[in-house]
Amino acid sequence: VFQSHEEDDRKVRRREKNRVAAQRSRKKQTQKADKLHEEYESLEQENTSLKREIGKLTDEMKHLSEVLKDHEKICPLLHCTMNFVTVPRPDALTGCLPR
Amino acid sequence: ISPGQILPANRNTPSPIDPETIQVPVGYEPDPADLALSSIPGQEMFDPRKRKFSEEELKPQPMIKKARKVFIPDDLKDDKYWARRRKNNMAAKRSRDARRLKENQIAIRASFLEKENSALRQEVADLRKELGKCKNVLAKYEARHGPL
Repeated sequence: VFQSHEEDDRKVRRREKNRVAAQRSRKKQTQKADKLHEEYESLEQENTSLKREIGKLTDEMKHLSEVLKDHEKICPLLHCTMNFVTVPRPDALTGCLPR
Repeated sequence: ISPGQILPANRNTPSPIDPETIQVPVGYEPDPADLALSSIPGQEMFDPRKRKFSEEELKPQPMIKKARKVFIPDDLKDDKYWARRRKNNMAAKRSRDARRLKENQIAIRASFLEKENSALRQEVADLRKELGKCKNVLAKYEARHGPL
C-alpha cells in the first residue's frame, strides 16, 4: 500500500511536469506564429509602398521623356540653320542637351 | 530606361499606376520540399507570388473555451463514447494540419516578399539615378538657354 502511494505520487508529479511543458510548448508556438505574422504584414506594406513609388517614378520619367520629345521638334539649337550642328544623334538624349 | 524608350505595355497608361501591375524580375525558387508542405494535394500548387494573406487570416486564433477534463471510468467507455472520441480526434488532427499548412504558406510568401522587396528597392534606386541624370542635364540646358 505504501508503494502504491509512492507510485501515485510519481504519476501526479509526472502529469504536472508534462502539463507545464505542454503549456510552455504551446506558448512558444503561438509566439513564433505571431512574430511571423508581424514580419509578414510589414513585408506586404513595404512591398505595396515600393511598387507605388516605382509607379510614381516611371510616371515622372514618361512625362520627362515626352517633354524632351516635344522639345526636340522645336529646339532652336537643332533647327536653326545658323547653327552648324551635326545631324541629331538618335540616342538616349536629344542632341541639343549638354553632355 | 531612357526618355525616348517605350515603356512596357502595362506602364504606358495615362491613369495612375496600379501597384498590382508592377512587376520586377525576382529570381526566386522556393525549396520544393517546403512547397510540398504548403500545398494541398487535391488543389493547385501553392504560389507565393499570388497568394496574399488578409488581416483576418493573420489574427491570432480565438481561444475556444475547452470543456474541463472529466475522468470517465472504463466501464462507462461504451461505443458511443469511443465514437465521440474518434470524431474529436479526427477534428483535432484536421485542425492541427490546417494550422501547420497555413503557417508554412505564410513563411514561404514572406521569404518571397523579402526577395521581391530587395529587387524593388534596387529598381527604385535605378529609377532615381536615371531621373536625376536627366533632370540635371535639363537644368544645365535651361540655365543656358532658358526654359524649354
